[in-house]
Amino acid sequence: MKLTSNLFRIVLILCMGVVLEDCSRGDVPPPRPSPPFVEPVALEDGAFPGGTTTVRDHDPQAFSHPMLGSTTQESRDFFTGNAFFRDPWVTAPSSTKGRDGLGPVFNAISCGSCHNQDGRGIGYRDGKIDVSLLFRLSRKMKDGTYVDDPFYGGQIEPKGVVGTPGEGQPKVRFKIIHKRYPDGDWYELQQPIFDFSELRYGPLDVDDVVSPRVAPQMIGLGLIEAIGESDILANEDPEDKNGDGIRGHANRVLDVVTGQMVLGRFGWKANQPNLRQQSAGAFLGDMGLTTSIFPNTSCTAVELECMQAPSGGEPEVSDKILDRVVTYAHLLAPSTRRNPSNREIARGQGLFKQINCVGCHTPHFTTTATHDMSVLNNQSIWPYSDFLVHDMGEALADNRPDGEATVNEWRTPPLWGIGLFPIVSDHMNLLHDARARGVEEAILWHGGEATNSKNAFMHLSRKDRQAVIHFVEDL
Amino acid sequence: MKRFLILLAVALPLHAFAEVKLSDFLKAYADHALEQYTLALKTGQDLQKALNDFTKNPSAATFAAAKSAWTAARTAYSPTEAYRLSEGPIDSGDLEGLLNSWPLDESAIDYVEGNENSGIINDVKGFPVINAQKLISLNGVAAEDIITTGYHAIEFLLWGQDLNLKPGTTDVVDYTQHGNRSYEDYVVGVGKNADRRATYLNVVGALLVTNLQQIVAEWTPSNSKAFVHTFLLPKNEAKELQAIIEGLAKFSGEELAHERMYVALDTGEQEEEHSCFSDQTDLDIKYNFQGVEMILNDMKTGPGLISLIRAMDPSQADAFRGTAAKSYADGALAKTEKSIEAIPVPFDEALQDPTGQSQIEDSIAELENVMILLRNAKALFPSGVTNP
Repeated sequence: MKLTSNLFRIVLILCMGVVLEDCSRGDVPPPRPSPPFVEPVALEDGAFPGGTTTVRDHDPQAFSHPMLGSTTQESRDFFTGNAFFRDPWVTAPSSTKGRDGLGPVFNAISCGSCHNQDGRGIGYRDGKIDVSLLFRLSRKMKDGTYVDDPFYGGQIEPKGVVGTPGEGQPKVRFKIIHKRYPDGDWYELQQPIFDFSELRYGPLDVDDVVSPRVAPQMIGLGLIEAIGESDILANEDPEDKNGDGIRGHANRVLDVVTGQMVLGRFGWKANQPNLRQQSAGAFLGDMGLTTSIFPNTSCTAVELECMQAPSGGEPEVSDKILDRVVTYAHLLAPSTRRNPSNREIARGQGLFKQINCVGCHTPHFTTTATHDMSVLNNQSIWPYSDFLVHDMGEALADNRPDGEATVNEWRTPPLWGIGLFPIVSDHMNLLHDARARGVEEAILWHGGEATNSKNAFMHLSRKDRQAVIHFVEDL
Repeated sequence: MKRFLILLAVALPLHAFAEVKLSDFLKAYADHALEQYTLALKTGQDLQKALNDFTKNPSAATFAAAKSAWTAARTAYSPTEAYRLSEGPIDSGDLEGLLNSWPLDESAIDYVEGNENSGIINDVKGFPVINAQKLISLNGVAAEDIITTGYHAIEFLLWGQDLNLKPGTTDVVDYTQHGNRSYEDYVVGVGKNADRRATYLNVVGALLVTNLQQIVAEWTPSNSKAFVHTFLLPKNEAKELQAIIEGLAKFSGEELAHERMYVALDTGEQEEEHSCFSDQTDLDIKYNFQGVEMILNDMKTGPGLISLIRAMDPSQADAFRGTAAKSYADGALAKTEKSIEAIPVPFDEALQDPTGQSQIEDSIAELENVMILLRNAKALFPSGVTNP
């Protein structure tokens, strides 16, 4: 009661002020427009990995927020994109016209099936292959070139709509390898060995190569698109002129809209140039949905049921819906680090640099000022990737080239958000095929150009190794 | 005279801050949460009882009573959604998902048009037993759409799909109608798998009550392990306030205006509306916003957020609700409320018609304005987080 009367008094005094001032001018001032909201943030040391776009959420929804600073219209479109990213597509024909055309063969019924809560795919569940792990397929020809498999196409699609069989079921078994650090500590490596059953068109050819790839986390993708091409190319060193053993180079890939060969930035082998093409590629390859960019259903000449299945429209994903999903993919925000100022973690950060993990996991970029979405421009970002491809050694090789990325090469995956995987996605399965069960095992699988850094890591004391791991887990 | 007034205006905020303490607001917010969630629990228990009565003795009358009980429970729950996204108990674990997941893939639960055998209810082999444990394990797995529990699952089991056609047509949707499931779906010997459907309904009804009890417990001071004690610790005050304001902003704008209204408007799809089976989306929107307003205005339990804002910057408070000089009707809250009231009912019909569409868009813009005002207000208070 006291509070209310005090409040009333304050309001009264204030009103008197306003009224008197108004009277002196003789009219009511127009309401002032609110200034656009900008979150006050500190940008040092990567505590805010996405610059001023960074959100602060360390719960299971941490990867699902639009970037701070998005325009109102972008934020609106983000949520339509979210709905089409998350909700399942259905078989054509159906009463839900906006959402039909799935398949006829497919890996998943929605983007969110693999990128659950916009997070990293788990890869395996109870010893079986999870929907989030797919297999690209190529046949090596006698002249050394690679083409799509003539029966299965460029990807195994295990599922089909009613009336269309899936192409085959991937299976996995694991080999466990025990090794020791120089200080005598044991460690364990889990190696997946893949096989396929129920192959619809017979066994794979001896010259077929399969490339397993798990769904990556969705955060910060627009910021990656907004990094200047020259800033990425500046880190190329294909002839290892600086003698650090690292020979990163760019993948050059086809932009199907412009017909130009351009820098590849997205995907495990950097085989997609931008998010629009990446998204359209995933709609087609993973869900069997056509777009204006990829208008033809991916049936091979032998897949008769596939060719005869009803279409969900031309294209099945309208440009409007594709635009919304692409907006969504651009604007998913990185979240703040949990403990950037913790002394042990800061020590790990120093060691990470000292043993030259940063040789490929480039900590920092500043985005350019030229992206169509202004929120992405001039951001100080901490992705921990150079977005170049590197030889990672034979143990990790998929033996399948992709553009200019050779059989042993993989793009450095950005590390932002990695420490939130257990919270968002309930696992810590890392690397392209989700084989590593945590940061330590992922480091220990590194080979090829990363051999020096891996060896340096192995020669650290147990305490120092833990500090490096804790640092990565704070990203 | 003018000079004096300016001095007064400058001096006021400091003085006023002493009057409305942050701890007073947080205490009011916590007490209000207990009050609101207790009401949601009470109406949830009434719903559970009505579902039991109906399934024991399915008739047109018990069916109607169950549906009214759902509407009452929903109406009580909707304002509590203003507590979401604020790092409180509703967002811990999967409680919110179990209570309020949406949109729903109805074919995962029961028969749908074109497939009389779909769903857990009709899959006797795959799901020999229907119990809470099983449904919890399925809810929200893989894609968010496999939703098996909560208000919207019960809504679907009471109303059924909203697929009515205009009389005498074969493809013209009649948006004026809601879903019209028959109570005979629950009459053993008439409805296919009627007993399993009844079991399902009672299981999700009981689970709803359990989940609401869990939230009430977290806001109950007599429970020594409750969240409310940590919430009220002086060292957490600044952090909690930031989380509350951001939560209210996010809920008004991103959740209510964008996720629940703009997606439906942008796509024109009936299936994107929130309570699509019962056609009571208008009530969801109205009471969701009422929940936000209750926390912003002074609560029965103590001062609201606007009082706190007014103490720091009267002009920002005026933007929300006006003053004696700038009438309440000109404030953002009244304008939003009025705009939401003006959306034609039912919401799915409004989506199809230009007047309805522009009214929905107006409401979205008003809610976005509330979001922006709230986010601006965050800067008035300490962040509560030490940046490196």
